[in-house]
Amino acid sequence: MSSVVSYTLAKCQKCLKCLRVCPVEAISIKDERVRINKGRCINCGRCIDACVNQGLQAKGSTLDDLDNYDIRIALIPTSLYGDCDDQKQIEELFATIKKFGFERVVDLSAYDGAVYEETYEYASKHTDDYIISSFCPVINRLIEVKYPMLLNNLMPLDLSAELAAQDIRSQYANFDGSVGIFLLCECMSKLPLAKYPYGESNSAIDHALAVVDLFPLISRSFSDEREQVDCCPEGIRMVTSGIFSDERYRPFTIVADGLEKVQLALDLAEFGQLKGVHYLHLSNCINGCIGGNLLWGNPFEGNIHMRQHLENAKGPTAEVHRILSAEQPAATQQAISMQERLAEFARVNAQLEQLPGYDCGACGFASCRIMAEEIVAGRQTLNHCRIRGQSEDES
Amino acid sequence: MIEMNYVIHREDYANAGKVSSQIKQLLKQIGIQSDLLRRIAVACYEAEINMIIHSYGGKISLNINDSEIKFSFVDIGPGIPDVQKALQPGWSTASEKAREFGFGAGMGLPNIKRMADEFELSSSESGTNLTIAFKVSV
Repeated sequence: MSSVVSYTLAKCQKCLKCLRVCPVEAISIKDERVRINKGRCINCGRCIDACVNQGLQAKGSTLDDLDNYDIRIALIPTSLYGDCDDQKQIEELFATIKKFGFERVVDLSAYDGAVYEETYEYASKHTDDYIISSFCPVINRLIEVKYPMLLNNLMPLDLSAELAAQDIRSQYANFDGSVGIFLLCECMSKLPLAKYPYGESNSAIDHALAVVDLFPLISRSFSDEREQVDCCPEGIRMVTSGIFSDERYRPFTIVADGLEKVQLALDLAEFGQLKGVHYLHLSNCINGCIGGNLLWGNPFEGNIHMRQHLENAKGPTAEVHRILSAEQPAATQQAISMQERLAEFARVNAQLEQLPGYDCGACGFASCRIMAEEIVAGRQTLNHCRIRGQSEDES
Repeated sequence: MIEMNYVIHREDYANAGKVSSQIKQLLKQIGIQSDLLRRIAVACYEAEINMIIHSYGGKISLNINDSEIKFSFVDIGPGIPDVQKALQPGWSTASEKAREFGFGAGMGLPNIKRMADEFELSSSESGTNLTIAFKVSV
């Protein structure tokens, strides 16, 4: 998985806002331009929200890509129900999207439901440690980058969209033409899935479209025709906090939405201090996937809609049994000895003592610690510090 | 060789876990292996909480060298009345106040012992001295 954030120099005001909000210190400003450390970026979207002039953006594919395939299939996320008032509107929305040029529109709620059931089964078998949900690509990356101790606690199951795409791909195994699978994305962290899936090296998804980019076309061409949609209740629970209305999950589950809550939960989990908790249901977006930043509605209205949909939903879950092997993406452990690591740490600390410790970001680095590392590496000098650098000149 | 010292105050529940968080952060910065770090984090947290709940206050020292990460938790009393019993799972002398905060399940010391590669505990009325060490595989 790589960063999906793109940068336009001409629109950048160098205001440092992106640098300050990044939860993983992936942003720096060097030589008058923003640099994103692709290996650290978790695609949470904070920098894009903070950017005052749209200098940072995340873009998906466009409908133009439909022309490259003989059969076009759209995968529609369950969270999109949150933008619909009732079942009729869901079915009209699906029909409208189909008219953009898709042969099939596939509802992902059955696959989200399958993940929900598989997760329960897995969590009830592995009771000796925490199980952390893996449906949110941001959280998966956050754990990889910042909480590597918990990497083995991630639920070893691919994303529902990936499971669906694999399933559909297999249905066309004997088809001679080309099949294009397009995932509609409710949040930007799913945009890079088509190229860089989590868990598997080759994604069955060809293109990722931002739902928000389709809204102008949807509102212009909204159809009163209907496409049958069998909303799966477990799928709805998966993408909201509806997991709490399930007696099976309730006794041992916590739900944390938004990066602040999530990080609090992960900090406690690292210390083994979530007693009585066994399953952690974590999402970057508020109220789960229905809070996705590429949707039209908001997570609060979405929650009300979802509660109503849940009452009527009777669709079955999909058949998937594809628990991944214990092989998780390995943490990038540098092949250097403990002795060298301690020496490096001591050098950085000695340098850090020269810096003011305000983490003001004016040097272009998110914290004094990173600046100290840069100085130790010989890429910066103390003079680049706006506070200590100047006092050096004066003396 | 890195040496760090931290002071722990009696019944300082408001800051419970802060020293362990700092130590965890420091060990992440050094780049300690994840599975080893998890054991250290759990043990260090338990020991810090023990000191806050049960002791009159004390000091945590951390020593890191090429082959080993070593902690000593030294407090100024009142001591553990029966060290053997304290090592049995479920045995606890935690106060009502501590239990209200959800501490005092009697798993602290047994857990620490399970996590550490080396474990040494001595106690008298004038204080308790817990030393734990973790081997670093290079």
